Amino acid sequence: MGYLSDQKMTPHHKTKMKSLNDSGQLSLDFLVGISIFATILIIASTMISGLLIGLEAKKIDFDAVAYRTGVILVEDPGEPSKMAFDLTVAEEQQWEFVGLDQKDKIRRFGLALYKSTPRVLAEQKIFSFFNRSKFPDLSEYRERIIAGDYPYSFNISLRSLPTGVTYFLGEPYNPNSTYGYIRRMVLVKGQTMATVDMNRYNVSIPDSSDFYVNISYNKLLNQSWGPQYWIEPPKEDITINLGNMSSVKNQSSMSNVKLKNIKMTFDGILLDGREVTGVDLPYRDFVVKIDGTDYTFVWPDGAAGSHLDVTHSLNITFPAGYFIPPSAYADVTLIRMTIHYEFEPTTVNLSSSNNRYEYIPGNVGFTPSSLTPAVLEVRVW
Amino acid sequence: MVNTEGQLYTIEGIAASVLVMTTIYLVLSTTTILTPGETHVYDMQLEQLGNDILAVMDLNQTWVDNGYGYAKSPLQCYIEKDDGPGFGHRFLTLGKQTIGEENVAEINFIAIVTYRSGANINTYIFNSTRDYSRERAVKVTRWVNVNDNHSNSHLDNRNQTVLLEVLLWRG
Repeated sequence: MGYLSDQKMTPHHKTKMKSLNDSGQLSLDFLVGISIFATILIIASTMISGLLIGLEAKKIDFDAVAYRTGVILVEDPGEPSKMAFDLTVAEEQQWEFVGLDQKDKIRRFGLALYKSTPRVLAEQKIFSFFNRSKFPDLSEYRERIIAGDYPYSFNISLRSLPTGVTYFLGEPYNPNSTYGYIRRMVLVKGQTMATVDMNRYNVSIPDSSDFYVNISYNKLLNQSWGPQYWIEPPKEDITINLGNMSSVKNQSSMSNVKLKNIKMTFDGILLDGREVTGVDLPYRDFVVKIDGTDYTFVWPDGAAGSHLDVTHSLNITFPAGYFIPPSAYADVTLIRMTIHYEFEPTTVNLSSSNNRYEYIPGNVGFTPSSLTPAVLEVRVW
Repeated sequence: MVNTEGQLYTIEGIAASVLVMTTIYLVLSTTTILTPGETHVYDMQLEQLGNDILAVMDLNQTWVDNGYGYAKSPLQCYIEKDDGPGFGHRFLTLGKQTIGEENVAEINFIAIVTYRSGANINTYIFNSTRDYSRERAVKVTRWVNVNDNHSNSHLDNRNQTVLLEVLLWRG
């Protein structure tokens, strides 16, 4: 089409310019329309993948989430959690011992002992996990065990098969409604205990008034056993029961066996490589049951009004976490921890050549930790 | 405005595109795609349970050196003594443990031990609840160590590892 000046345009031309003519010119209307259509088409096509998600059955999604949660709980040690063989663990490096103040350091719950021991759960982790005092709000559990943004409801239960003790966590579920479900069969590693028959240490010519229980770390972590059979004093209950105390009573003495004090010493290697033995450890308070009565021992003087009479038994349970070394000793490589019972000299028949008990599986009176089956169920909806 | 020229105006263009897109959206979102995943989930649960039970049976309660430097597991004892019924009883006992009011469908299984004898690979049925008649089943397996001083008449007298396969189904 040529360029015509206004003067040369005929009325016929002007009419044709107003409406679309055979000139092949695109109209603005068409451009607007097609661009809106194209924009929406692009937006819609990006939403297609989202559409397909909605097509999946919800039940499948719930089952998948329940399965994932089950795997996290049963096959993962949680975070933070120290690697195997790391005995100088600190509270904030092991989630089950993280205190209330630092609870935000717990990033993920997991009940397994170690990564290398799936399906073998640590008892202390179970206690910590099902104890709601740290996290009264369930949403805080949710973000630490459920991998997903959707606010799923959940119910987790664990039952020990030999004892029947059952733990619950989460919201009550309706058995008739739809929920995702997984059942896992697991083993729970129990606690150890030593029952020392004091009759074995009774001598006729006493030359000592001390008794020692050795907890030798290098022997308790036996490589060839595998982590599920290890004893790790910082992470487990340590129970020492001295029984049959009357048998070491000095018969010529009028008085009963009298306990002066209980001390704790350690052998270890310092940072500079020096090896030290028998170092007095300023211990944290602990409770001693003497003939069934509780006495709290406080460093350094022991129980108030020491020189306690012992007629039958002397029981101590150091709770899990007790042997986590104080921060001042965190750099020491511990070799041995010794519980040192100091008795009143004239009241016991003990010999310095035979007054030590080794806290180790296989020793007389030692109850090793046993792996007991339990069932864990996860429900998610 | 509207005349015989077939002109599409802006407002009509928008309306038309909204109509088309709404229709596409509705059609897609109402389509039900039947996935076979629904049944796979139940298989997965049964398979997980079977694997868990075999793993639990494959760890001894405490450390007891069996003279070969490791603790003998209950699973190893069952095979060494050829105690199929004992194995089956333990397997089903663990398999039926639940906490909630879960409806536990009866679990059936066939356990097969595969071993090498000379140049041959042989199998025998270790234990079973009933015959397998082509139900929908899953299979879980575990390699089990056997010491040379075993009393299983099927196996050669040497240290060996045999394959335990358990075919599991509900019903």
